Amino acid sequence: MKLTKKSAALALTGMLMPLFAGTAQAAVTGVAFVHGTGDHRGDAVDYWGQDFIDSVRSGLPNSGNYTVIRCDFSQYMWDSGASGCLAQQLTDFINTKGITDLVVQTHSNGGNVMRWILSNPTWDSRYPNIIAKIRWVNALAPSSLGTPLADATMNGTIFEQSLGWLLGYKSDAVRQQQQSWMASYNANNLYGTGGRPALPKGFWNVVGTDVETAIWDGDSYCGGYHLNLGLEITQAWLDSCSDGFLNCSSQSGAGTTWFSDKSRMAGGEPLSHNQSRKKCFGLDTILRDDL
Amino acid sequence: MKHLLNTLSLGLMLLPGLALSDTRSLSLPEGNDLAAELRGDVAMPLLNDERAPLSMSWALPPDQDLQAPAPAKAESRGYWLETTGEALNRGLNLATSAPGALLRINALAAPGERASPESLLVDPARLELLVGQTRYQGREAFALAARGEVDADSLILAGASAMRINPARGFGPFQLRSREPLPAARRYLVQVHEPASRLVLRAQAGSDAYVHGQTLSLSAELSQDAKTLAAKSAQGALLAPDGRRFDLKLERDAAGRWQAKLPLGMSAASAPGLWELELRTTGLVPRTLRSAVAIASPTARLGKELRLSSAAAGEPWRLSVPVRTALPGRYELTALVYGQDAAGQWRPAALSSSAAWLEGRGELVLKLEPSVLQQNGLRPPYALRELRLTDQSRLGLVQRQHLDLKLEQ
Repeated sequence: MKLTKKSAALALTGMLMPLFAGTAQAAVTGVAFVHGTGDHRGDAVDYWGQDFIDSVRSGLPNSGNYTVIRCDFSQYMWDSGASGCLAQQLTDFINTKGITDLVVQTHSNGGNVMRWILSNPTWDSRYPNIIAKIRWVNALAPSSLGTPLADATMNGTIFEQSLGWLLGYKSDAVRQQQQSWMASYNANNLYGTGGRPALPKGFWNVVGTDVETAIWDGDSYCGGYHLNLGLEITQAWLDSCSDGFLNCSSQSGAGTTWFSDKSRMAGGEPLSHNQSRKKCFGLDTILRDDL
Repeated sequence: MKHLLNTLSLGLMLLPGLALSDTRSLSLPEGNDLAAELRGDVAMPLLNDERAPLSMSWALPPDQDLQAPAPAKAESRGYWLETTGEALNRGLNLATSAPGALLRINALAAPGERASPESLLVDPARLELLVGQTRYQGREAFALAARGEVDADSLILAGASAMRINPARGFGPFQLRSREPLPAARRYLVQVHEPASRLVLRAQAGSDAYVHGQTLSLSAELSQDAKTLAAKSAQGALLAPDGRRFDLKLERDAAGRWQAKLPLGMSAASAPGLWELELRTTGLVPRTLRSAVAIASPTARLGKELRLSSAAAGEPWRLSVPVRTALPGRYELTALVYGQDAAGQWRPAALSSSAAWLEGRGELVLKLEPSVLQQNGLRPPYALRELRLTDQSRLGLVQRQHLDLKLEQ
C-alpha cells in the first residue's frame, strides 16, 4: 500500500515531489496534526494525546519538525477561524522549520477543512504554497459525506436572524456536516468525491468500521471507555459499518481508502471514532512508518 | 437536468492553426445550465476579501469518470415534533411503523435563556413507555439509553437524551411519559427515527444548484416498499440561511407524487450557508425531511467573447474570459480540460482555477500549463468541457456552463 501511495503521489504531482528527489537538495519533512470538529485552541494536544503525537513524530528525520494545529473548527470550513486559521498555522510551520515535504494527519472534520484548502487553491494567497509543500494527507476517519448524526442534531432547529440559534445545537460545523449539506459542498465547492475532479494531492483515508464496548475487553478502554460507550448508542443511527460517528461510506467518500481498521490494527481491532485519533492498536506506528 | 445538460453540450468550435503568440477570439455557446441576470441585492458580509490574483492548475487522473452534477436525493424514515413538559408529564403520543425506533429528546432554550444544556436534560431513567394500558420502564422500555454530552463528536448526546425502544415492544402507537414532573412550560424537541421502517419520504430538487431568478422545483414521494402512498396532507417550505421561510405549494401528480415550483424572486440571504427544503407529511405515521440546496445570487456573469493565446512553446496557454459583476468581490473561474489518449479517447487532463478581485467589468485569466496538460500522456487537441464561475466573497456558484471548446495549436 505504501508503494501505491507513493506511486499515486508521483503520478499526481510529477516532478514536484521532494520525496523522490534523491539527487536534489534533501527534503525537510514535517508532520502536522489537524484536529476535528470543535474549538480546540486550548486542548489540541489532549485531542490527540501526547503519547500519540510523540510516537508518530519519532518517525521524522528531525522529530522536532511537527506542529499540532489549534483552531476553532466549530465554524464553517471556509471561515477564517477554520481554514484561515489552519492555513496560517501551516504557513508559520512551513516557514519557521523550512519544511519542503509536509505530511498532514487529519481527524474527522479536520479532513473537510484540509480538503477545503486543497480544493480552493485560489481562495487565499497562503493556499498555493501549502499545497505545493504537501506530500499527502492521511485522513483519519474523515467526515467527507457528512453524518446522519449531524442531521439528527440539526433536525427541527430554527434559526432566527435577530436572535441567532433559538433551538438546538449552535455549531456551524455540525450544520455543515449534515449529509445533504456535504453533498452540496462536495458537488460545488470541494473535490475528491465520486464523479468529481481529483484533489491536487493524495487524500488517504483510514476507515473505522466498528465500535467495541465490552466491559470485560481491555481494548474497549483505549481512547476512553466512557467515550466508546457513548458511541454505542450513536451507532444505532448509523449503518452496520461505522465507527460510531461516521458511516464507512462517509469515511471513504473522498480521496482513496488507504486501509480499513481491522486489516491493519493489532489483533484485527476496529477503531472507534475516538480511537482513530489516539495511540490505539498500533495506529501510531503505521503513521510513523508512513513518514 | 441531465436532459438539459445534453442539449447544452453544443457543437464543436474548431480553431484552425492557432499559431504561437497568436490570439484568437472564441465565443461561448448560447445557453447555460446555471445562470441568470445580474443582481446585486446581497447584504451578506464578505466571507473572503483576499485581493491577490491567484491561479493554479493540476493534472487529473485520466481514468477518472467525471459526471455531470445531479441533485441529491434525500430520504427520511422519521419525524420530529415540538412538545412541552406538560405533554410529556401527561403522556406524549408517538406513532411508529417498525420495531426498535430511536428517540432523541432535547430541551429548547427560550430566546435569550442561557441555561446549560446539562441542566435541562431529560433523564431516560425517569421516562416510561405506555403500550395501551401497560407501563414499561428501564430496559423493558428502552434497550439502549444515554444522556448528556459524552464527547464533542457524539452529537446525538450533545445536550440531549437518546433511547432505543425495546424491539420487544413492537411498533404502533406509544405514549412517552415522564415519571417525575418536568417543567410544564418547557419546550422539548422529540425526534423519532425508524431505521427498520419501510415507510419512507423521499424528495429531490430539480437541480443541485440554483441562482435567484430561476425557478426551484421539487418532487417528493411517500412510499412503502415500492408503492406510492397517499399522505393525509403534506406541507413544504424553503428555509433561507438567515431564517426566512417561504411556503411551497405542493400538488399531487397522477402518479401520487408531490410536486412544487417556487420562483426564486426573493432577496438573497444575508447569512452564509445553504438553503433547505423542509417537508412534512401527516397520516398514521408522520414523516419530516430537510435537504440542502445551494441558491446563490447571480452577482457576476461570464462574457461571451473569450481570448486564447499562447506566447511561446512551453509557455502556458492563457484563456481570458470577460466577467461582468454586480458587486465588488473575489470571483473564481474554473475550467475542466480534456485531452486525448493514445487511442484517441477523450480523458480528463487538468483542472484550472483562477481568481481575482473584480469590480464592474473585468476578466479572469486561466493559465493552462502544457506540462500539466501532458503530465499523464494526453495529447492535443485539448477541449474545455465545463466552466464554473464562483463568487468567493459570498460563496455562491453563480454560473455553470457546459461546453465542448477545442483548444488546438
